[in-house]
Amino acid sequence: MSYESMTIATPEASRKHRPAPAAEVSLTDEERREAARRKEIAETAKRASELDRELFGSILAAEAPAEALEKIETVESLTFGKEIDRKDVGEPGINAITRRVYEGDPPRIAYVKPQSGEARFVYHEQRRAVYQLTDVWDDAEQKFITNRKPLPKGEGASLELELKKRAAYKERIAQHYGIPVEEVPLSDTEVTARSSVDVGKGAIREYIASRVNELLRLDVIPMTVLRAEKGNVDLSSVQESVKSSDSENPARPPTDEELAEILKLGSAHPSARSLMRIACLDHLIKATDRHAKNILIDPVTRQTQGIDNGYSMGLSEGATGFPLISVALEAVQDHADWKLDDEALATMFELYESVKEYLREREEDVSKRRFGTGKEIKYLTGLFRLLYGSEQIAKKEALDFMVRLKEIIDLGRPPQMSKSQLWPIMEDLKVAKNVEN
Amino acid sequence: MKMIYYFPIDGDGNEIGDPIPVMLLADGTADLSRLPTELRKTLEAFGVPDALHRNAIFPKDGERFLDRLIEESNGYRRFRSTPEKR
Repeated sequence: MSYESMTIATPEASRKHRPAPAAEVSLTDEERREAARRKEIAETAKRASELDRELFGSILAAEAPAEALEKIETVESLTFGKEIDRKDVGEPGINAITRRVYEGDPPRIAYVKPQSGEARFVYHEQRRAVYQLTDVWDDAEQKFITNRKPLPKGEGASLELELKKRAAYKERIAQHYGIPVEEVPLSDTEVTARSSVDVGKGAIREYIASRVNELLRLDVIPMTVLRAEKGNVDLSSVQESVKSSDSENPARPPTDEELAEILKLGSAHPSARSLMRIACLDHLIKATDRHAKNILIDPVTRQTQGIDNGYSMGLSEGATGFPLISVALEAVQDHADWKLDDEALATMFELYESVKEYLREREEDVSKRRFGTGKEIKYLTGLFRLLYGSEQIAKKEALDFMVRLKEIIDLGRPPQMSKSQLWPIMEDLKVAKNVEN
Repeated sequence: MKMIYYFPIDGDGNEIGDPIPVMLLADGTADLSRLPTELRKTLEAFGVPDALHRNAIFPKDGERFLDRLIEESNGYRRFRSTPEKR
Protein backbone atom coordinates (compact mmCIF):
# COMPACT_ATOMS: atom_id res chain seq x y z
CA MET A 1 0.00 0.00 0.00
CA SER A 2 1.46 3.39 -0.94
CA TYR A 3 1.44 6.43 1.30
CA GLU A 4 -0.66 8.24 -1.27
CA SER A 5 -3.58 5.85 -0.74
CA MET A 6 -3.45 6.02 3.06
CA THR A 7 -5.70 8.30 5.04
CA ILE A 8 -5.29 9.21 8.67
CA ALA A 9 -8.24 9.23 11.09
CA THR A 10 -9.12 12.76 12.21
CA PRO A 11 -10.93 14.03 15.28
CA GLU A 12 -13.52 15.58 12.97
CA ALA A 13 -14.47 12.20 11.51
CA SER A 14 -14.86 10.73 14.99
CA ARG A 15 -17.02 13.58 16.21
CA LYS A 16 -19.44 13.18 13.33
CA HIS A 17 -19.90 9.49 14.20
CA ARG A 18 -19.38 8.48 10.65
CA PRO A 19 -17.80 5.15 9.90
CA ALA A 20 -14.17 5.60 8.90
CA PRO A 21 -13.42 5.34 5.17
CA ALA A 22 -12.62 1.83 3.98
CA ALA A 23 -9.02 2.75 3.10
CA GLU A 24 -8.24 4.09 6.59
CA VAL A 25 -5.67 2.11 8.51
CA SER A 26 -3.79 2.68 11.72
CA LEU A 27 -0.20 3.64 11.05
CA THR A 28 3.03 2.54 12.61
CA ASP A 29 5.30 5.18 14.11
CA GLU A 30 7.52 5.02 11.05
CA GLU A 31 4.55 5.51 8.75
CA ARG A 32 3.34 8.44 10.79
CA ARG A 33 6.76 10.06 10.62
CA GLU A 34 6.86 9.54 6.87
CA ALA A 35 3.36 10.99 6.44
CA ALA A 36 4.33 14.02 8.52
CA ARG A 37 7.53 14.44 6.50
CA ARG A 38 5.61 14.42 3.23
CA LYS A 39 3.02 16.80 4.61
CA GLU A 40 5.78 19.25 5.55
CA ILE A 41 7.20 19.04 2.04
CA ALA A 42 3.80 19.77 0.51
CA GLU A 43 3.27 22.72 2.85
CA THR A 44 6.73 24.12 2.15
CA ALA A 45 6.17 23.95 -1.59
CA LYS A 46 2.78 25.57 -1.21
CA ARG A 47 4.17 28.36 0.96
CA ALA A 48 6.96 28.99 -1.56
CA SER A 49 4.32 29.42 -4.27
CA GLU A 50 2.46 31.93 -2.09
CA LEU A 51 5.69 33.85 -1.52
CA ASP A 52 6.34 33.87 -5.25
CA ARG A 53 2.92 35.40 -5.86
CA GLU A 54 3.75 38.12 -3.36
CA LEU A 55 7.13 38.84 -4.92
CA PHE A 56 6.36 38.63 -8.62
CA GLY A 57 2.65 39.40 -8.58
CA SER A 58 2.78 42.32 -6.16
CA ILE A 59 6.18 43.72 -5.30
CA LEU A 60 7.93 43.44 -8.66
CA ALA A 61 4.78 43.84 -10.76
CA ALA A 62 4.39 47.34 -9.30
CA GLU A 63 7.85 48.35 -10.55
CA ALA A 64 8.29 46.38 -13.76
CA PRO A 65 5.11 44.58 -14.83
CA ALA A 66 6.42 43.18 -18.12
CA GLU A 67 9.51 41.78 -16.42
CA ALA A 68 7.38 40.38 -13.61
CA LEU A 69 5.14 38.57 -16.12
CA GLU A 70 8.15 36.90 -17.73
CA LYS A 71 9.42 35.82 -14.34
CA ILE A 72 6.01 34.40 -13.44
CA GLU A 73 6.01 32.35 -16.63
CA THR A 74 9.44 30.95 -15.84
CA VAL A 75 8.48 30.17 -12.24
CA GLU A 76 5.26 28.46 -13.33
CA SER A 77 7.10 26.36 -15.88
CA LEU A 78 9.79 25.26 -13.44
CA THR A 79 7.40 24.68 -10.54
CA PHE A 80 4.39 23.09 -12.19
CA GLY A 81 5.37 22.51 -15.81
CA LYS A 82 5.17 19.06 -17.31
CA GLU A 83 8.52 17.33 -17.43
CA ILE A 84 9.35 16.49 -21.04
CA ASP A 85 12.87 15.19 -20.58
CA ARG A 86 15.04 13.99 -17.72
CA LYS A 87 18.63 12.83 -17.55
CA ASP A 88 20.54 11.75 -14.46
CA VAL A 89 23.82 13.58 -14.89
CA GLY A 90 25.34 12.61 -11.57
CA GLU A 91 26.85 9.35 -10.37
CA PRO A 92 24.11 6.86 -9.40
CA GLY A 93 23.86 6.47 -5.64
CA ILE A 94 26.22 9.39 -4.97
CA ASN A 95 25.11 12.48 -6.80
CA ALA A 96 21.40 12.83 -7.51
CA ILE A 97 21.50 15.89 -9.74
CA THR A 98 19.32 15.67 -12.84
CA ARG A 99 18.97 17.75 -15.97
CA ARG A 100 15.31 18.25 -16.75
CA VAL A 101 13.35 20.05 -19.41
CA TYR A 102 9.96 21.50 -18.49
CA GLU A 103 7.15 22.41 -20.83
CA GLY A 104 6.91 26.12 -21.49
CA ASP A 105 7.25 28.73 -24.18
CA PRO A 106 10.17 28.26 -24.56
CA PRO A 107 10.79 24.96 -22.75
CA ARG A 108 12.95 25.48 -19.66
CA ILE A 109 16.13 23.56 -19.05
CA ALA A 110 16.97 23.18 -15.39
CA TYR A 111 19.24 21.36 -12.97
CA VAL A 112 17.39 19.71 -10.14
CA LYS A 113 18.87 18.84 -6.78
CA PRO A 114 16.77 16.89 -4.29
CA GLN A 115 17.06 18.08 -0.73
CA SER A 116 17.66 14.50 0.38
CA GLY A 117 20.89 14.40 -1.63
CA GLU A 118 22.55 17.01 0.57
CA ALA A 119 25.54 15.58 2.40
CA ARG A 120 25.41 15.57 6.19
CA PHE A 121 27.89 14.42 8.77
CA VAL A 122 27.85 12.60 12.09
CA TYR A 123 30.60 11.82 14.58
CA HIS A 124 31.00 8.22 15.66
CA GLU A 125 32.30 8.39 19.22
CA GLN A 126 33.58 4.84 19.48
CA ARG A 127 35.34 4.82 16.13
CA ARG A 128 36.41 8.44 16.58
CA ALA A 129 35.54 9.15 13.00
CA VAL A 130 33.33 11.55 11.08
CA TYR A 131 30.93 9.86 8.67
CA GLN A 132 29.34 11.41 5.58
CA LEU A 133 25.71 10.47 4.99
CA THR A 134 23.62 10.90 1.86
CA ASP A 135 20.12 9.61 1.17
CA VAL A 136 18.95 8.02 -2.05
CA TRP A 137 15.24 7.38 -2.68
CA ASP A 138 14.40 3.75 -3.41
CA ASP A 139 11.20 3.67 -5.45
CA ALA A 140 10.65 -0.05 -4.95
CA GLU A 141 11.03 0.17 -1.17
CA GLN A 142 9.31 3.58 -0.99
CA LYS A 143 11.91 4.84 1.42
CA PHE A 144 15.32 6.45 1.58
CA ILE A 145 18.42 4.33 1.68
CA THR A 146 21.22 6.06 3.58
CA ASN A 147 24.75 5.76 2.22
CA ARG A 148 27.34 6.13 4.92
CA LYS A 149 31.08 6.41 4.55
CA PRO A 150 33.90 7.68 6.77
CA LEU A 151 35.76 10.83 5.87
CA PRO A 152 39.49 10.37 5.34
CA LYS A 153 41.55 10.98 8.45
CA GLY A 154 42.22 14.67 8.80
CA GLU A 155 39.35 15.85 6.63
CA GLY A 156 36.80 15.66 9.40
CA ALA A 157 38.97 17.00 12.23
CA SER A 158 37.47 20.50 12.30
CA LEU A 159 33.95 19.11 12.25
CA GLU A 160 34.72 16.72 15.10
CA LEU A 161 35.74 19.69 17.17
CA GLU A 162 32.60 21.65 16.24
CA LEU A 163 30.31 18.77 17.13
CA LYS A 164 31.90 18.45 20.55
CA LYS A 165 31.20 22.14 21.17
CA ARG A 166 27.69 21.98 19.72
CA ALA A 167 25.86 22.66 22.98
CA ALA A 168 27.82 25.84 23.72
CA TYR A 169 27.38 26.92 20.11
CA LYS A 170 23.61 26.57 20.32
CA GLU A 171 23.62 28.59 23.55
CA ARG A 172 25.31 31.48 21.77
CA ILE A 173 22.84 31.30 18.92
CA ALA A 174 19.90 31.20 21.30
CA GLN A 175 21.26 34.31 23.01
CA HIS A 176 21.71 36.10 19.71
CA TYR A 177 18.10 35.55 18.68
CA GLY A 178 16.59 35.84 22.15
CA ILE A 179 15.04 32.37 22.06
CA PRO A 180 15.23 29.31 24.32
CA VAL A 181 18.06 26.99 23.32
CA GLU A 182 15.53 24.22 22.61
CA GLU A 183 14.15 26.34 19.80
CA VAL A 184 17.44 26.71 17.94
CA PRO A 185 16.79 24.91 14.63
CA LEU A 186 20.01 22.90 14.58
CA SER A 187 20.36 19.15 15.01
CA ASP A 188 22.49 18.01 17.94
CA THR A 189 23.90 15.02 16.12
CA GLU A 190 23.96 15.72 12.40
CA VAL A 191 25.58 18.68 10.70
CA THR A 192 26.16 19.97 7.21
CA ALA A 193 29.54 21.25 6.10
CA ARG A 194 28.73 24.46 7.97
CA SER A 195 27.79 24.35 11.65
CA SER A 196 25.47 27.30 11.21
CA VAL A 197 23.51 25.62 8.40
CA ASP A 198 21.05 22.96 9.49
CA VAL A 199 20.54 19.66 7.70
CA GLY A 200 17.74 19.07 5.25
CA LYS A 201 17.22 22.68 4.15
CA GLY A 202 19.61 22.99 1.20
CA ALA A 203 16.86 23.36 -1.39
CA ILE A 204 15.18 26.12 0.63
CA ARG A 205 18.46 28.02 0.91
CA GLU A 206 18.98 27.79 -2.85
CA TYR A 207 15.47 29.16 -3.29
CA ILE A 208 16.06 32.03 -0.86
CA ALA A 209 19.28 33.08 -2.59
CA SER A 210 17.37 33.22 -5.86
CA ARG A 211 14.56 35.28 -4.34
CA VAL A 212 16.88 37.82 -2.73
CA ASN A 213 18.50 38.14 -6.16
CA GLU A 214 15.05 38.70 -7.69
CA LEU A 215 13.89 41.15 -4.99
CA LEU A 216 16.97 43.30 -5.60
CA ARG A 217 16.91 42.68 -9.37
CA LEU A 218 20.59 41.80 -9.37
CA ASP A 219 20.29 39.20 -12.11
CA VAL A 220 23.25 37.13 -10.90
CA ILE A 221 21.53 33.95 -9.69
CA PRO A 222 19.61 31.74 -12.12
CA MET A 223 15.89 31.47 -11.37
CA THR A 224 15.38 28.74 -8.78
CA VAL A 225 12.12 27.29 -7.52
CA LEU A 226 11.08 24.69 -4.99
CA ARG A 227 9.32 21.71 -6.41
CA ALA A 228 7.74 18.86 -4.49
CA GLU A 229 8.59 15.58 -6.16
CA LYS A 230 5.76 13.19 -7.01
CA GLY A 231 3.96 11.99 -3.90
CA ASN A 232 5.83 14.63 -1.89
CA VAL A 233 8.65 12.16 -1.32
CA ASP A 234 11.23 14.91 -1.63
CA LEU A 235 11.65 18.64 -2.07
CA SER A 236 13.97 19.75 -4.84
CA SER A 237 15.57 22.97 -5.88
CA VAL A 238 15.02 23.47 -9.59
CA GLN A 239 17.47 25.99 -11.02
CA GLU A 240 17.24 27.22 -14.58
CA SER A 241 20.34 26.40 -16.57
CA VAL A 242 22.81 29.24 -17.07
CA LYS A 243 23.06 30.01 -20.75
CA SER A 244 26.03 31.64 -22.35
CA SER A 245 25.81 34.07 -25.27
CA ASP A 246 27.49 31.48 -27.51
CA SER A 247 26.11 27.93 -27.32
CA GLU A 248 29.47 26.58 -28.50
CA ASN A 249 31.11 28.18 -25.45
CA PRO A 250 29.05 27.13 -22.46
CA ALA A 251 29.23 28.99 -19.15
CA ARG A 252 31.94 27.58 -16.91
CA PRO A 253 33.92 28.43 -13.76
CA PRO A 254 36.68 31.00 -14.28
CA THR A 255 40.24 29.78 -14.70
CA ASP A 256 42.99 30.88 -12.33
CA GLU A 257 44.27 33.27 -15.01
CA GLU A 258 40.86 34.84 -15.43
CA LEU A 259 40.54 35.31 -11.67
CA ALA A 260 44.04 36.76 -11.47
CA GLU A 261 43.08 39.20 -14.19
CA ILE A 262 39.98 40.20 -12.23
CA LEU A 263 42.09 40.68 -9.11
CA LYS A 264 44.52 42.89 -11.04
CA LEU A 265 42.06 45.01 -13.01
CA GLY A 266 39.30 45.32 -10.43
CA SER A 267 36.57 47.69 -11.58
CA ALA A 268 38.11 47.93 -15.05
CA HIS A 269 37.51 44.24 -15.77
CA PRO A 270 34.59 43.27 -18.08
CA SER A 271 33.22 41.03 -15.29
CA ALA A 272 33.35 43.82 -12.71
CA ARG A 273 29.67 44.81 -12.76
CA SER A 274 28.24 41.33 -12.33
CA LEU A 275 30.95 40.19 -9.93
CA MET A 276 30.33 43.18 -7.65
CA ARG A 277 26.63 42.30 -7.68
CA ILE A 278 27.51 38.74 -6.64
CA ALA A 279 29.76 40.15 -3.91
CA CYS A 280 26.89 42.27 -2.58
CA LEU A 281 24.50 39.34 -2.72
CA ASP A 282 27.02 37.12 -0.91
CA HIS A 283 27.29 39.69 1.86
CA LEU A 284 23.52 39.87 2.17
CA ILE A 285 22.88 36.11 2.18
CA LYS A 286 25.95 35.30 4.28
CA ALA A 287 27.46 33.06 1.62
CA THR A 288 29.90 30.47 2.92
CA ASP A 289 30.58 28.45 -0.23
CA ARG A 290 31.31 30.87 -3.09
CA HIS A 291 34.42 29.07 -4.29
CA ALA A 292 35.54 29.69 -7.87
CA LYS A 293 33.64 26.60 -9.05
CA ASN A 294 30.39 28.20 -7.88
CA ILE A 295 30.78 31.15 -10.21
CA LEU A 296 30.00 30.65 -13.88
CA ILE A 297 31.45 33.00 -16.44
CA ASP A 298 30.20 33.54 -19.97
CA PRO A 299 33.43 33.09 -21.94
CA VAL A 300 32.35 35.68 -24.52
CA THR A 301 30.61 38.47 -22.55
CA ARG A 302 32.51 37.73 -19.30
CA GLN A 303 29.28 38.14 -17.33
CA THR A 304 29.15 36.05 -14.16
CA GLN A 305 26.43 34.16 -12.28
CA GLY A 306 26.48 32.41 -8.94
CA ILE A 307 25.31 28.82 -8.49
CA ASP A 308 25.20 26.32 -5.60
CA ASN A 309 23.89 28.61 -2.89
CA GLY A 310 22.95 25.87 -0.44
CA TYR A 311 25.38 27.03 2.26
CA SER A 312 23.96 30.49 2.71
CA MET A 313 21.75 32.15 5.34
CA GLY A 314 23.26 30.20 8.21
CA LEU A 315 22.30 31.11 11.76
CA SER A 316 24.28 33.92 13.36
CA GLU A 317 25.87 34.08 16.77
CA GLY A 318 26.60 37.78 16.97
CA ALA A 319 29.93 39.24 15.94
CA THR A 320 31.74 35.94 15.66
CA GLY A 321 30.84 32.92 13.62
CA PHE A 322 31.87 30.89 10.61
CA PRO A 323 33.52 33.31 8.16
CA LEU A 324 32.01 34.04 4.79
CA ILE A 325 33.59 32.32 1.82
CA SER A 326 33.22 34.26 -1.40
CA VAL A 327 35.65 34.69 -4.23
CA ALA A 328 33.56 37.68 -5.34
CA LEU A 329 33.73 39.39 -1.94
CA GLU A 330 37.44 38.68 -1.72
CA ALA A 331 38.06 40.10 -5.18
CA VAL A 332 36.44 43.45 -4.37
CA GLN A 333 38.25 43.89 -1.05
CA ASP A 334 41.50 45.06 -2.66
CA HIS A 335 40.01 47.75 -4.88
CA ALA A 336 38.48 50.64 -2.93
CA ASP A 337 37.30 52.30 -6.15
CA TRP A 338 35.27 49.25 -7.21
CA LYS A 339 31.66 50.21 -6.54
CA LEU A 340 28.25 48.70 -7.10
CA ASP A 341 26.62 50.04 -10.27
CA ASP A 342 24.11 52.87 -9.93
CA GLU A 343 21.13 50.81 -11.10
CA ALA A 344 21.59 48.13 -8.44
CA LEU A 345 22.37 50.70 -5.79
CA ALA A 346 19.19 52.61 -6.60
CA THR A 347 17.08 49.46 -6.23
CA MET A 348 18.66 48.73 -2.87
CA PHE A 349 18.14 52.32 -1.73
CA GLU A 350 14.45 52.29 -2.70
CA LEU A 351 13.87 49.01 -0.91
CA TYR A 352 15.63 50.19 2.22
CA GLU A 353 13.79 53.52 2.33
CA SER A 354 10.44 51.83 1.80
CA VAL A 355 11.07 49.44 4.67
CA LYS A 356 12.39 52.16 6.96
CA GLU A 357 9.38 54.40 6.36
CA TYR A 358 6.96 51.56 6.99
CA LEU A 359 8.65 50.54 10.23
CA ARG A 360 8.85 54.13 11.44
CA GLU A 361 5.19 54.82 10.78
CA ARG A 362 4.19 51.53 12.36
CA GLU A 363 6.01 52.55 15.52
CA GLU A 364 4.45 56.02 15.59
CA ASP A 365 0.79 55.48 14.91
CA VAL A 366 -0.85 52.73 12.93
CA SER A 367 -3.95 54.82 12.21
CA LYS A 368 -1.90 57.46 10.46
CA ARG A 369 -0.03 55.04 8.25
CA ARG A 370 0.23 56.60 4.83
CA PHE A 371 3.32 55.02 3.44
CA GLY A 372 3.03 51.61 1.92
CA THR A 373 1.99 48.27 3.32
CA GLY A 374 5.43 47.04 4.39
CA LYS A 375 5.14 44.35 1.76
CA GLU A 376 8.91 44.10 1.24
CA ILE A 377 9.82 43.50 4.89
CA LYS A 378 6.83 41.21 5.32
CA TYR A 379 7.96 39.27 2.26
CA LEU A 380 11.52 38.97 3.56
CA THR A 381 10.30 37.83 6.96
CA GLY A 382 8.07 35.26 5.28
CA LEU A 383 10.99 34.04 3.23
CA PHE A 384 13.17 33.55 6.29
CA ARG A 385 10.34 31.97 8.25
CA LEU A 386 10.15 29.32 5.53
CA LEU A 387 13.76 28.44 6.29
CA TYR A 388 14.06 28.80 10.04
CA GLY A 389 10.51 27.91 11.09
CA SER A 390 10.75 30.49 13.86
CA GLU A 391 9.04 33.87 13.79
CA GLN A 392 11.61 35.33 16.19
CA ILE A 393 14.56 34.20 14.09
CA ALA A 394 12.88 35.29 10.85
CA LYS A 395 12.25 38.82 12.16
CA LYS A 396 15.79 39.20 13.49
CA GLU A 397 17.23 37.91 10.24
CA ALA A 398 15.09 40.29 8.21
CA LEU A 399 16.27 43.26 10.27
CA ASP A 400 19.90 42.12 10.15
CA PHE A 401 19.50 41.78 6.39
CA MET A 402 18.39 45.43 6.24
CA VAL A 403 21.44 46.43 8.31
CA ARG A 404 23.74 44.70 5.83
CA LEU A 405 21.82 46.33 2.99
CA LYS A 406 22.39 49.74 4.57
CA GLU A 407 26.10 49.02 4.77
CA ILE A 408 26.21 48.45 1.03
CA ILE A 409 24.11 51.56 0.34
CA ASP A 410 26.31 53.79 2.52
CA LEU A 411 29.59 52.47 1.11
CA GLY A 412 28.45 51.80 -2.43
CA ARG A 413 29.95 48.33 -1.98
CA PRO A 414 30.26 45.61 0.68
CA PRO A 415 32.28 46.56 3.76
CA GLN A 416 35.93 45.66 4.23
CA MET A 417 36.24 42.45 6.22
CA SER A 418 38.86 40.87 8.40
CA LYS A 419 40.16 37.35 7.81
CA SER A 420 37.91 36.09 10.58
CA GLN A 421 34.91 37.52 8.76
CA LEU A 422 35.89 36.56 5.19
CA TRP A 423 38.01 33.47 4.67
CA PRO A 424 40.82 34.35 2.24
CA ILE A 425 40.77 31.49 -0.25
CA MET A 426 42.65 33.30 -2.99
CA GLU A 427 45.87 34.06 -1.11
CA ASP A 428 47.79 31.32 -2.93
CA LEU A 429 46.49 32.52 -6.27
CA LYS A 430 47.61 36.07 -5.53
CA VAL A 431 51.11 34.85 -4.69
CA ALA A 432 51.29 32.49 -7.67
CA LYS A 433 50.14 35.15 -10.11
CA ASN A 434 52.04 37.96 -8.40
CA VAL A 435 48.86 39.98 -7.90
CA GLU A 436 49.70 43.01 -5.77
CA ASN A 437 47.25 44.74 -3.41
CA MET B 1 43.43 1.36 -11.83
CA LYS B 2 40.75 3.87 -10.93
CA MET B 3 39.40 5.85 -13.84
CA ILE B 4 36.61 8.36 -14.07
CA TYR B 5 35.21 10.28 -17.04
CA TYR B 6 34.54 13.89 -17.83
CA PHE B 7 31.59 14.69 -20.09
CA PRO B 8 31.80 17.86 -22.19
CA ILE B 9 28.48 19.62 -22.69
CA ASP B 10 27.00 22.15 -25.09
CA GLY B 11 25.22 25.34 -24.14
CA ASP B 12 21.98 23.46 -23.38
CA GLY B 13 23.63 20.92 -21.15
CA ASN B 14 23.58 18.06 -23.65
CA GLU B 15 26.56 15.76 -23.38
CA ILE B 16 28.53 15.99 -26.63
CA GLY B 17 31.57 14.31 -28.10
CA ASP B 18 33.38 11.50 -26.38
CA PRO B 19 33.80 11.22 -22.61
CA ILE B 20 37.34 12.09 -21.53
CA PRO B 21 39.07 9.64 -19.19
CA VAL B 22 40.81 10.86 -16.08
CA MET B 23 43.01 8.25 -14.48
CA LEU B 24 45.83 7.93 -12.00
CA LEU B 25 49.42 7.98 -13.13
CA ALA B 26 52.01 5.55 -11.86
CA ASP B 27 52.98 8.00 -9.12
CA GLY B 28 49.41 8.15 -7.88
CA THR B 29 48.57 11.62 -9.14
CA ALA B 30 45.53 12.29 -11.31
CA ASP B 31 46.27 12.76 -15.00
CA LEU B 32 44.37 15.82 -16.24
CA SER B 33 46.26 16.11 -19.52
CA ARG B 34 43.32 15.15 -21.70
CA LEU B 35 40.84 17.57 -20.15
CA PRO B 36 39.92 20.86 -21.89
CA THR B 37 42.54 23.49 -21.12
CA GLU B 38 40.34 25.79 -19.03
CA LEU B 39 39.09 22.95 -16.87
CA ARG B 40 42.55 21.52 -16.39
CA LYS B 41 43.93 24.90 -15.35
CA THR B 42 41.06 25.47 -12.92
CA LEU B 43 41.50 22.07 -11.30
CA GLU B 44 45.28 22.43 -11.08
CA ALA B 45 44.99 25.87 -9.52
CA PHE B 46 42.02 25.40 -7.20
CA GLY B 47 41.62 21.66 -6.88
CA VAL B 48 38.21 20.45 -5.80
CA PRO B 49 36.67 21.20 -2.38
CA ASP B 50 36.98 18.51 0.27
CA ALA B 51 33.83 17.05 1.78
CA LEU B 52 33.44 20.00 4.15
CA HIS B 53 34.21 22.59 1.47
CA ARG B 54 36.93 24.04 3.66
CA ASN B 55 40.12 22.87 2.03
CA ALA B 56 41.05 21.85 -1.48
CA ILE B 57 41.96 18.40 -2.75
CA PHE B 58 44.44 18.41 -5.62
CA PRO B 59 45.48 16.05 -8.42
CA LYS B 60 48.41 14.92 -6.28
CA ASP B 61 45.90 13.49 -3.82
CA GLY B 62 45.10 10.80 -6.34
CA GLU B 63 42.06 8.65 -5.71
CA ARG B 64 40.56 11.07 -3.19
CA PHE B 65 40.71 13.77 -5.87
CA LEU B 66 38.84 11.54 -8.33
CA ASP B 67 36.23 10.65 -5.69
CA ARG B 68 35.66 14.31 -4.95
CA LEU B 69 35.34 15.21 -8.63
CA ILE B 70 32.45 12.77 -8.83
CA GLU B 71 30.87 13.92 -5.59
CA GLU B 72 31.16 17.57 -6.61
CA SER B 73 29.94 16.99 -10.14
CA ASN B 74 27.21 19.40 -11.18
CA GLY B 75 25.30 20.20 -14.36
CA TYR B 76 28.14 22.26 -15.79
CA ARG B 77 31.08 20.07 -14.82
CA ARG B 78 30.21 16.39 -15.04
CA PHE B 79 32.30 13.50 -13.87
CA ARG B 80 31.10 9.93 -13.55
CA SER B 81 32.72 6.55 -13.05
CA THR B 82 31.48 4.97 -16.31
CA PRO B 83 31.74 6.28 -19.89
CA GLU B 84 28.07 6.03 -20.89
CA LYS B 85 26.65 9.35 -21.97
CA ARG B 86 23.32 10.50 -20.58
